[in-house]
Amino acid sequence: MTRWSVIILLSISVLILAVIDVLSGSVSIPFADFKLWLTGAETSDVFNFIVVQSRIPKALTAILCGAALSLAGLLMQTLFRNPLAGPYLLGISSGAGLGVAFLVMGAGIIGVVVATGSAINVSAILGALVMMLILLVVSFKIKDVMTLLIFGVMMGSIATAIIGLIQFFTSDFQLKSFIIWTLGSLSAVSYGELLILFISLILSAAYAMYNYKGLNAVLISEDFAKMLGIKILHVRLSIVLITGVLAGLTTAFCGPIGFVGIIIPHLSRLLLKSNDHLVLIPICLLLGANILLLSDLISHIPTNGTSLPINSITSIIGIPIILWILFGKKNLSQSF
Amino acid sequence: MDPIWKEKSKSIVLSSTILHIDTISVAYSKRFNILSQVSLSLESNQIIALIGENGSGKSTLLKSICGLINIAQGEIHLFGKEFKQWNKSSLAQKIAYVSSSENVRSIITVERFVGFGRYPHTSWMVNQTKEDLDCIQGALSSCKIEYLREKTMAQLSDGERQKVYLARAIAQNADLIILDEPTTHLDVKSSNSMFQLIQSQKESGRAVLFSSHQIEKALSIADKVWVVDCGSVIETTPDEFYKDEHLKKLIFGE
Repeated sequence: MTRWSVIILLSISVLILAVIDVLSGSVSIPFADFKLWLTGAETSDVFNFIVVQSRIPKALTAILCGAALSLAGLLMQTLFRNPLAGPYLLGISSGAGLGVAFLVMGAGIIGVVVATGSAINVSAILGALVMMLILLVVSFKIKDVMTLLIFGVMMGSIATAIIGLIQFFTSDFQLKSFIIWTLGSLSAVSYGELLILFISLILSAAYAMYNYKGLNAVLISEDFAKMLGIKILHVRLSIVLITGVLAGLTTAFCGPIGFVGIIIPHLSRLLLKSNDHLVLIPICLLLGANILLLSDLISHIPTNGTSLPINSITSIIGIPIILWILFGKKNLSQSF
Repeated sequence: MDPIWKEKSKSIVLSSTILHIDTISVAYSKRFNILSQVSLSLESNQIIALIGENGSGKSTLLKSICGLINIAQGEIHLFGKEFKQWNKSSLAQKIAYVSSSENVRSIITVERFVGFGRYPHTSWMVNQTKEDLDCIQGALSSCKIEYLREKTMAQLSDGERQKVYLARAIAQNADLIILDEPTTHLDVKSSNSMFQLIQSQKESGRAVLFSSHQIEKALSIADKVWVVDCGSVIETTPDEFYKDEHLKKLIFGE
């Protein structure tokens, strides 16, 4: 299969999965109604509420978050030349979690209850932003990228430890709303938030594509890239910035979503049999969108009106894939 | 011969100093200088063998010329310009470096890896021009590894991989190629062909600076020898090296 045919096939399957995702669920929507809505005809209030206000944003969230997490994961794996790296490696999501923990539970301790969706998002973005700024400053100072890796992991652990402390002193009710946030959810993301995510994703992907040569060379080694005239600091900072923004926003809007960011880059490399970022980046974006849409479809298989937590679904799909890659003939480190 | 190589050799009329090292010192810790007060120079179209014991500072010298290690004192002039004044991507068109720790075992194909050598010459999206493809082809054929073109780096033997690294440096079309121990891990036949390849770079108008532990062979192709000892570097010629009992004792032992 040529690269273009892979790209076209994956784009078509994103569209098909998105339509199925919108039509299926506790109330199934006939395709005829959906076609009517696409042509701009008047639709009922019920249809508007279910499709326009709930399911379409959810499908779009799955597409954008899947793509964003996969891109962030790919860039982290390239920067650290580590097959286990993912978008949350540097503690960005723990930073976001700490922001949410301060809001949901910290406010509860002093007797105020603030747990609206937008307040949670803002606090998560603030938490991720602070973490990202610290990482950017550190990226300037260090000589070796491995120092950044260890520093990021340590910062994540500190954030998790503080979250634990807050959890210890909080009430049951607030603890539950925090735990639900950590399970992740693709619903209740507004169109405004989707637009922010969309713009950040497009800018990040465009910038990563623009820098594909630097990324390819950094994957060999930093000294190798330097001797080809590539500005290492520039590559390093842009990767931390892109990952920070994408992982921060997705965590803020949907909670931490596991595994997508780690497996999709591997699947893309295996599919393409190449590690050239020029083709790897678009494939990663498309494959990520596909997989998260698929996970969302699976998550509303129980038809009693509830949907399963998305984080559990991605892990349940993700772990077999990782095991299949590990125990199959594929050698992860050589496909890298 | 490829037309591009010819062009390169024509452009050099007189040999000129392309590298001038002015009393540099390099230190990893404050107390101990690994290189101290070293001054050397290198002319275009010259082959220089860098020899010395393990840990004597050969790699350190090569890395500091490339700017991969910060020097504590002194200045390095490349092609008449101080190192810091160079725009790094223009410098990459002039110097190609192959590290001794290079170990690429991934799904990247040989052709694409050699294509890395064209990165300093191309802008971002312009993938590969006719000239780039010619350079890659020329580099593959001069290293006699055209048959490896489609293989991935993971599938190669150590000797083949070493040739691919050299081909990448040749594709970079630089005036100075720096090779750090290009013959380690190689069998006799492969290392002989590696030395031949190094020698043939002269015909293309390039200078080569390489380190090696295979003294006899290295000296047989070199115009000049740099012997690294206890932080200082002695410059000599192969003939004088064999006449100098002190240097011989230093390299071959008692």
